[in-house]
Amino acid sequence: MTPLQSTNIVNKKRIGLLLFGVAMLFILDLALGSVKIELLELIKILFGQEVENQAWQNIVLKIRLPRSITAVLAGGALALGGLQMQTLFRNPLAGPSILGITSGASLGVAAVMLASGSAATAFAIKNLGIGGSWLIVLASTLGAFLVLLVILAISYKISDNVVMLIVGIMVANITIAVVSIWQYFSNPEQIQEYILWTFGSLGGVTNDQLAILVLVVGIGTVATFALSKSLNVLLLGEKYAQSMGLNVRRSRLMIIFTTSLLAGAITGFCGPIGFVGIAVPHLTRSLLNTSDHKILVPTNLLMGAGLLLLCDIISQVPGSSSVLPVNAITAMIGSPIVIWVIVKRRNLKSSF
Amino acid sequence: MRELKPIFSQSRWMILCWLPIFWLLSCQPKKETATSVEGIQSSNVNVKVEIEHAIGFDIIDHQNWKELQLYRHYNDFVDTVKLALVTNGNVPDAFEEHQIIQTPVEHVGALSTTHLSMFELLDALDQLKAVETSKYIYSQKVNERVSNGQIVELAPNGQLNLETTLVSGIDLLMGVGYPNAQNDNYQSLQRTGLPVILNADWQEKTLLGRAEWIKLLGVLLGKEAQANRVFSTIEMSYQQTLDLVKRNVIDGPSVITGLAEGDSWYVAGGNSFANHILSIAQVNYPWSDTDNTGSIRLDFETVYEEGLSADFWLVPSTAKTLAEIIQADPRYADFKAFEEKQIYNIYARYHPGGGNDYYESAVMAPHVVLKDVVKIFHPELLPDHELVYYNRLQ
Repeated sequence: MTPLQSTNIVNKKRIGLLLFGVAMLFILDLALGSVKIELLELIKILFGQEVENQAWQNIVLKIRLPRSITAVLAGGALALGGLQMQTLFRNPLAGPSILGITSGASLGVAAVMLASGSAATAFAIKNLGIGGSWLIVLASTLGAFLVLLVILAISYKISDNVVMLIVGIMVANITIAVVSIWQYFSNPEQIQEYILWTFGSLGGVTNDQLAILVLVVGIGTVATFALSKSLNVLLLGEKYAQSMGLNVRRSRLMIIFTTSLLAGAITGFCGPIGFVGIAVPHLTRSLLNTSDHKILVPTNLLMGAGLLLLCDIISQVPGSSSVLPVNAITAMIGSPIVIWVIVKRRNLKSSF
Repeated sequence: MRELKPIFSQSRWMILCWLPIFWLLSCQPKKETATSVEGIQSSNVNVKVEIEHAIGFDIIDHQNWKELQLYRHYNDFVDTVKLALVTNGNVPDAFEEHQIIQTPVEHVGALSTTHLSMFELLDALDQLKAVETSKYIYSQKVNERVSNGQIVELAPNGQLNLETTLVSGIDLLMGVGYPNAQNDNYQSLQRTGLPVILNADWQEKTLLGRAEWIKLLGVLLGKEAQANRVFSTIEMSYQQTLDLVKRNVIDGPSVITGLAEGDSWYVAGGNSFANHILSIAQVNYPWSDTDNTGSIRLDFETVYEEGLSADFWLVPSTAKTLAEIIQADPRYADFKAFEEKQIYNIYARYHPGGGNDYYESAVMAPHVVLKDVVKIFHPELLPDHELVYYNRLQ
């Protein structure tokens, strides 16, 4: 047996273990919450059987299940986005928000919450028949999409990835500046609403919205799988990739588009959720000790889902009726893990 | 919260940044800082003023002058501001110049919509010379006076304009007592000799406590007798309704408050003003035993469970129709109060995008607010009363 084969077997075991872990976390996320629901009852509800307590059925099916599924989708999508960005820019600090997609989404949301402060605009939007949570989703998707268009246009012109990276960060800065000017001129109530949005939320996604989220993340995931080979080649450097016959420009466009789709959709529905995108690729690489994207892509998906499920469980503070912002938990739980993993490995460079 | 409006502009942004932290902190029980208030009377040519309900201020009668004590119970470091209200130039010794206010005051500026109604009740609109901004004012009379120039706007763009304030011709500015605010602007004004009194009516814990601030304005304007009369009429009417509830209600219906924002749902705490209104109406409120003076941050699931069976739903944030509630989150349709259309907000009297009378005349109409609440929860007790400030969502 060659060393490579033995690594593969070990990795298969690890991926299997990871899959099991994610499944357990999913069940745990459903089982834990402010309202105490027994495991047996929970299983009954999940299998569609009638239970005595109608409220429990509603809580599990209408609150916890959509939230857990959202956590899986958001974790997976952000992790995939982060992996693609880190590989494209060959930079361990890149994440899905690096190109200004997240701040673009924030810009869209701010436009609705802050800039529409004048009653006239707010009513005009209401007259379109879009209101409540859908309006926010639409606004942030549009914001992300606009920034994406700018980035794509620039990336078509510029072939240097480092320049691209800086342009992305600068575009993000501009959008942040616009938002902060709007904040300055807004009412306290409006800013309060906006600040709450920036905390991130997995529970605000309703069943109708979930269907769309599944579709978009599904498309993004399939596209990422399809891009695995290009990503592998890009990791060897652009020039080498070109000599291997890869259309670097087209691959780059595809990668940026896929990442934007994933990050934009998640930010639209859940608000800006930081950290998962940067951290998860590092965790997977060190778990599997490989840089083959055919393996990294599915593992990232699982790892991201698992990490966000864990964060969601913690942010619900099981047993209490309180809740913490998920955005803070991702960084608070994730950062120490990443520091530990990276310090332990010390060969970060070898992956890039 | 329109009450938050008249915050000082410079500190406003800073405070906003801290809002989320306030919420987190509000999970901890706050120390009660209620001060026992007892009016001290002495013979005076003026009418005696006794403060019985408000915890934010007291007025002490001295021989020829009155002492105003403002208790800043809402600060982390509780302190008392003492001012001398002097009529005949009898300046008491222990007070420095900036602590002395000559009464009756002729022209007053008021920086909160909650201050406006008491001017109307004391027939003193002519003495009201300046407001923060007419944008958030509901009163037709005040708005007319602003548009024909009788009343000046001191903060038309949300920033208190110090120069406009100084040339507006007011002799006294009624500012807003806000927790731990630095009040830099007020201090600048005081240095120029314009006295500033911080009105903390919105920090009062009871309906009558809020309304009792009319007595302060009464003293300032030299209309003590009228203020006493107005307040005792209010008090009597309030007490009648309260007795009616006490006699007839044994077990009230259940209620939830607020609307979810993201994953969390802010509901009124057990020591909050909102819960005071619920408790005098003898309603079963799931979080009435908590210690919080503000709101409690709970997760969606916790409130959802209560909402499924609660008979009533009060003040779902800014939602004005049942359709808006469904748009915000379709899961609200599962609530009993939604199915039975027993949802009430405070938008019965408001201008879209502008003033809401709930933060204006309702402050000086606790008896009407109480009747509204009783009408909502126990309609059989007040068959003839029509809702004034509260509105049933359609």
